[in-house]
Parts: sequence; C-alpha cells; structure tokens
Amino acid sequence: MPIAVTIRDESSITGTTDTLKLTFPSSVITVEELIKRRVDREVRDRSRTRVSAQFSPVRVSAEETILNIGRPRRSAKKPLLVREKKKVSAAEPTIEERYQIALKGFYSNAFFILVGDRQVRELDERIQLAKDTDIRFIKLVPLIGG
Amino acid sequence: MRSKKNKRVLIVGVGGLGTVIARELVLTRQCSISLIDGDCVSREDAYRQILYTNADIGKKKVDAARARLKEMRPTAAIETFDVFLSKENASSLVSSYDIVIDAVDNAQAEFLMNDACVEQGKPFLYGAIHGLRGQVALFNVRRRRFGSRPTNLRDVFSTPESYPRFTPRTTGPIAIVTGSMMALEILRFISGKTLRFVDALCEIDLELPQIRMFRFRPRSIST
Repeated sequence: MPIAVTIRDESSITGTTDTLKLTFPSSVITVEELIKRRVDREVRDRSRTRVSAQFSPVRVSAEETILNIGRPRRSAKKPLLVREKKKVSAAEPTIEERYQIALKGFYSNAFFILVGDRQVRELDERIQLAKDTDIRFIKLVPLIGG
Repeated sequence: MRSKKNKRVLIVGVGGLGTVIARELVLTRQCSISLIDGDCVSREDAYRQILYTNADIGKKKVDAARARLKEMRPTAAIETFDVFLSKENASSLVSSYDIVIDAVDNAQAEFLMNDACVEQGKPFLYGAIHGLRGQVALFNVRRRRFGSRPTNLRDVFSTPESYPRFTPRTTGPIAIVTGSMMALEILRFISGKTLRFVDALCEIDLELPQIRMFRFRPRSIST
C-alpha cells in the first residue's frame, strides 16, 4: 500500500528550510530508494518550473544546489539534491548520473539523513515508514563565531 | 609521550569559547595551556566573555586573560602569544603541542590550524558558535574502522570559501555550553578516556533546546 511521508530540509543556521511530500509504494524502503525518489521528484519539479518560468516574471536561479540551503531563499522551491548547471549545455546529466551524484554526496558528507533521532549511514539501511515518520535531510553549515 | 600533567594545550582565540575553555583547564589543573590572540578586549567582549571586565577594555586579550587566570590559580602554567594565526606562523606554533583548540571566529584561521594539524598529526578540536547554536568536533584522531586516514575539517566543510558569509552573533550561554563541552573532550583526551567527538560533529541548539550528533567519514571512503 502506497505511503506518503513528509521530508524536511534543515541547515545548521536557519533550521527547517523546506518540506516536501514523497510517496513510496511500500512501507519499508532503503536509504538508496529514499534518495533516488527524492532526485526523481526534484528533476520533475525542476522541469515543471523551467516550463512555467518562461511565463513568470520570477525566474528560478540556475545555481540552486544543495550547497545553498543554508542561505536565504529567494524562490519557494529549490532542489536539494539535483545540481543545475550554470549554463544550459547539450550534455545535461542523465537521471542515472544524477542518482550517482546524490549517492556520492551521501557518502561524502554533503548531506546527512535523520529518521526520527537515528542517523542513517548506509545506502542499504532499511527505513520503516509510517505516516508520521520524521525524515530530515540535513546540510551541516559551519558556524563562524568563536 | 608526555605525562598527563605535562600535556600541552594550545588554545587559538581567547574570545567567547577560548575564555571558557582556558578557565576550565586552569581550574582542573590537568595540563599547561598556551593562548594565542592578537586582539584587544572590546566593550562587547567584556560583557559576554567570562574572563574580562570593563577594566580590561583596550587591553590585549592574552594579557587580560592570563592575569585573570593567574588570580584564580597562581601556579598555573600559562604561555601567551600576542599574535594572530597566519600562514607564516601556523606550523611552528602548532608543533610543540599535544592538542590544538579552535576558538577563533574566522574560517581562514580554522583551515590553517586544521592543515597544520593534519601535516603534523596533531588532534584538532573544532568549535564554533552562532546565535544560540554551537558545534564541536574532534579531528585528526585515528579510528581503526576507516583504515589509513583520520577525518579532518575538510571532510565536512571543504574550503574556507564554502563558509556562509555573515557576521557571527554570539551569546554568552552558547559560548559557555559549547566551551564546556570542548573542555570536557580535552580532559578526556588528556586522561586517555574514550573520546566522544571523533568522526562526529555535535550540534547544540539552545533555542529548542537539543543536542544532535552527526557521524561522518573521510571523503574518500565510499562504503
């Protein structure tokens, strides 16, 4: 039975920066499936935004990446895992390449995932989903005060 | 290997965090400390940094801090350096210490310390605060499970250029909580107890309040 869960993005400085709902076909998923589903969703949202942006006075920035989630947001939706190129080139990354970038990011501390209070650390780790499962994608941002 | 009492701790920056750490270490009589800071005490420092008073405004931070610490414990071994950490002096300053403590408020100095510690195989305790949030992590301490390389600052925060650009706002309470956690980790290191912040970044949020630990690995390790 499909299950919808709310995912929250957080950064060290600003706290929660965004939320999105993802639907999964079953209630037990792996971390890899979670990341891939998220990439799919961001790619879909991004192409939709690109089409509508032609008619909108507010264009979505081309450099909206995971690295920006700690900064003030200028537009409502910014992709967390899908990195856009500054200039649109012919060689747009395929969905498989995007998966690999996101999975590599998971293993290189680009973002962290908390399920409830538990940090998931391996791609094959299983997550039991319920409607109220608390999933957070966290970007650690250095604080500079001393 | 130096004995426990002879361990030497280098505290870089004598501001919100540095004053708390220095005070704890001096009062616990576990080690000798050295303080580095080229700055003078400002009015704001006197209000929220625990070793200073209004009478210290305009004085060199290292001198004012040393005088206050000596009042607390006259026999304390305290060395001071009235300089800012730079590319030229980082390596030589770090070389004669058992552990280096980051209590500075700028990214460049943090990376200088980190790189000097990596080069010389010294443990590097990172600490930072902003508003009501604080972070602590212990870098460059070997853990067997990742094989050859211990983690360092660049495994989590990449480069000084990746740091957000804003003026840090620090408050007394977060400096005291974060500084105390750092001091405890230093004491665990000195006494050979289990270290809590190796390969882990502790994030403290006094507003909620909550403390969370994020485990990380060297960037080159893929599984």
